[in-house]
Amino acid sequence: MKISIKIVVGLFLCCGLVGSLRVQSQTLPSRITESIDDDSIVLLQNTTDMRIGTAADEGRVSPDLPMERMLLMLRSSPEQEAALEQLLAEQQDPSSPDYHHWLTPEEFGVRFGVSPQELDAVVGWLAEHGFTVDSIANSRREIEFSGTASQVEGAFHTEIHWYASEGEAHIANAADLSIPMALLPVIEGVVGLHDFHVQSMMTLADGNHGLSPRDLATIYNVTSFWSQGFDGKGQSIAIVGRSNINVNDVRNFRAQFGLPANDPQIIVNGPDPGIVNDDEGEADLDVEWAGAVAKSATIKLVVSKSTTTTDGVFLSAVYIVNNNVAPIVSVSFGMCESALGSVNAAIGSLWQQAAAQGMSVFVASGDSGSATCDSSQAVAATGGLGVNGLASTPYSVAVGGTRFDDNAASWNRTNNIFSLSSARGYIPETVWNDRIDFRLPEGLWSSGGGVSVFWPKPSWQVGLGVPLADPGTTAEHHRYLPDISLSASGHDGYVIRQGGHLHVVNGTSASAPAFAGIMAIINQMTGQANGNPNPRLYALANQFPSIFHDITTGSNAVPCVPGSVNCANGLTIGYAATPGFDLATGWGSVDAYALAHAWKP
Amino acid sequence: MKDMPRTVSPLLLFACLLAFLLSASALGQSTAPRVTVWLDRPAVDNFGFAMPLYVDGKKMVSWGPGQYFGIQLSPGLHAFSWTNAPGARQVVLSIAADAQSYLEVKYLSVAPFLAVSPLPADNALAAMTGLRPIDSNAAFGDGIIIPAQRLEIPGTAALNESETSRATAPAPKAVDPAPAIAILPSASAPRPPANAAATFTSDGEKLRELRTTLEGEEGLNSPRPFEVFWAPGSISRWGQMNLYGGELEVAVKVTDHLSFIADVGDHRSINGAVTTGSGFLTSGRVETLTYRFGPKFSIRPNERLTIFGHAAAGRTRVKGKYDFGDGFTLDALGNGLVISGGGGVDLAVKKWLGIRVVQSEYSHNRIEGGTWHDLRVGSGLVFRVK
Repeated sequence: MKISIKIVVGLFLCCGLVGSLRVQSQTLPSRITESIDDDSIVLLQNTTDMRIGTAADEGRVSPDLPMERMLLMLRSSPEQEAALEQLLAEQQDPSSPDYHHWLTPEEFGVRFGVSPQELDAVVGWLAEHGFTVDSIANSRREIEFSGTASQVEGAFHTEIHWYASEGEAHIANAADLSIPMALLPVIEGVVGLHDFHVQSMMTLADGNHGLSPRDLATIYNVTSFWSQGFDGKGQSIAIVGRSNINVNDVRNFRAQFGLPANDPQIIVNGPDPGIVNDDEGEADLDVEWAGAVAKSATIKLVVSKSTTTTDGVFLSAVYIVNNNVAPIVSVSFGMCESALGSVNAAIGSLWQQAAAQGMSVFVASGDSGSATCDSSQAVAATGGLGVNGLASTPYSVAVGGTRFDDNAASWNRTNNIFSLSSARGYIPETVWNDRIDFRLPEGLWSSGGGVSVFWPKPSWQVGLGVPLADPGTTAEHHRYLPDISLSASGHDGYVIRQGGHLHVVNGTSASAPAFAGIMAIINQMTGQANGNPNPRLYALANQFPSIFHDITTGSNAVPCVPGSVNCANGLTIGYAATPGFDLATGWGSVDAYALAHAWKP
Repeated sequence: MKDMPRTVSPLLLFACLLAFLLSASALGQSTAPRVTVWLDRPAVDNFGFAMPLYVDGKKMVSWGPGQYFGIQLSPGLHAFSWTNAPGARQVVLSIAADAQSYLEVKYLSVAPFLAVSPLPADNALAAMTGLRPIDSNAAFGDGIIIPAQRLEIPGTAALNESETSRATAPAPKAVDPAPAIAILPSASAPRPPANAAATFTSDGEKLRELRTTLEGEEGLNSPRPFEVFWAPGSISRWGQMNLYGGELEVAVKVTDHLSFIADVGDHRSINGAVTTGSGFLTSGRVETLTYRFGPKFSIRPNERLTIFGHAAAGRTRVKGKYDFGDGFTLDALGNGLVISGGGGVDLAVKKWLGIRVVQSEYSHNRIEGGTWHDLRVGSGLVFRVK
């Protein structure tokens, strides 16, 4: 009997060793089969930012202009991509041995990153052009490098120009990038090379009401979690940021609304940007409200300073995923897919890696309704239909916005003296569309939603109301947004504390971290990370629709300029709420407690 | 002032009215018929120094050997002791409804450390001859008679009109040139009844009955069935916020040492610095209203001082009007439970009136999921009602 056990153990050890060796030695032939010749180049399509088209070209920048922390995105082989997609499906399949078997960034790099030989080749090419390689991501899919404008121009066969846009000076590459043909199999593109940054999805509101943390918790039944001791304890949420914050704002916010003291962790990735006026509020909102729902979770704000070439948002996102900072990620920035161009693929690649590592990524769907290519402060849309490229990947949850269709009975006459809340319970919702609902003279304030032009329809995106084909077509099938929604209207905006002052803000920038907070509690209840939540969300929406507060009134239609893209009727463009899924609010909002209880298969 | 809570005024009016009615009731007492009892302490007993004498639990005199005094008591049972320590054995005698009675008091070296013997008038007069009256500053109780001077043997100087009597009853009149003995209590007074044997008791129930029959003998600091305390006071929330107001407390006596209290208090902020329920410091106004009930324990070390401790629990209601700046204002309300513990000191001024020198207590409030820790301090009047 002892001999048998030894034999079995020995066999296991041998198998494990062989398996390990197989992984270690799984070195596919290098995809860089030719010598790297800078005279034999290939153009990378859509690597010029569309905004330079409306900006005034001010000429080339100085050759010595520093260009720091650029992100070179590397691509997996088709075989690796197929294997990764297979793994992602199995990680969400309870019958699979790989169910919820999450990878570390290093494991991901070994299995799905470029090979060491390929990596060496790319790094060598960068060095040849005088760049400094700052870091190589654990995933082996991103290289952070720095150099000068002339080095960029030389390596990528483009010119870096000054541009004047809306009173601001920007730099950007004037033409699409090119790379040596030999590197095309491994280089996806470069994130940025310009300083047109993605937008924060929040703005100050002027409503008469403000949501306190307990208001939101009452309305979406988070309080039932709390009363049972599930408040995110032991969980963590990473916030993508590009501004530091004053921690005292968070402390005072929590003290004012009766939340337990729980300072956020601030992780500065690279140089500290300090307080960035335009972005501090976003960081405060995300930190305060993710922590307002998951009140005992550790909120980790990852801050990266934007450089002349790279948005701090991308630097923070890459850092979070490649360092497995937290199993939940909240992103409240965005840009329409057509503006992001080739960066869409880079974002998708990053969120794909996050999903394989068990991370759940929540991204604000946008604040310009169906017209995300336009600013939420625009008078009317001119850019046509579009969705937020940071949210539209199949690996992220796009969080839209609703508005409470409230009345006097929805709120207590006075506030609770401890939590300063007055919500009595769930309040029926409609699509967030402040422009239409309140007849505002300008601004497109409404729930971002629509059809991706970049990503195909994921297999899990099915159910009542999910379009069988893209609107206006019969054979086009793309990813539809948003997936889910929470309140985002300025009518009952979220109260935040920023710079020592209180503000009421609105936008899907608020609903995204709030939902991230709900997910942290779901992770706590299920005792594990859950990866990409979408497959489960859609399955539950089909199986237990009562978990969701289906939004069936309103739309995210916004005024459009007659004659502009998609403005067929010359009035508005957008999508109406319908029973089940719709392109304005997704599946609607949730009873968080019911959602969590149904979550585990 | 226009911000004063409107709910307070009726409360305070009610408190004042109640206090007035109770105090008026206390003033309307009647007085029972009295007899004069003469007590003497022989020149020699087991204690050679001044000792106290308690009658019915009240300290009457502190006297030395060879002294005497008179006292007016109601007919019936009375308890004598050298102490009012709880459980101490007492000598209980029945005082007949005669005009005058005579008792000889000796301090012993064994329990009950006191012997009180009724004496026939003749024997009493003989025993008291040559004794001196107690000092006026050694008399504490009401109804004590202190003759003007020492008793002399027949033929000595006559006694004058009392100059030192503190009692309401006059000292015996001197009849010049009659012998001094003649001005002492009448020798013809009836002898004590044969069944007036001294008994010893420490039975609290009997003593209470005894006291009940001795309404006219109630001391300055005797417990009364009801006490009404009204006072201004303040609440301090651990250095964050101070609230000022008042409270009204009614105590119903259960025993001499135990009462049951019902208390209502109203306090509010008078400056702009207040806290929310969670302790966040901001501007605005806060008002608290508490209703509490609980036991109160009292001890009375002497005729004026009462030391008490109490515990109470009840409801608290907090209203706030907050201004967080930047245009953010809101009204808030909280209800919760309060548990308090504390104590204080009362000083008796009249039988019906005392001064609560200080009352201090800690309150633990559980309001809408939050916790407040309060320190309450107050000082005011205690109306003691029969």
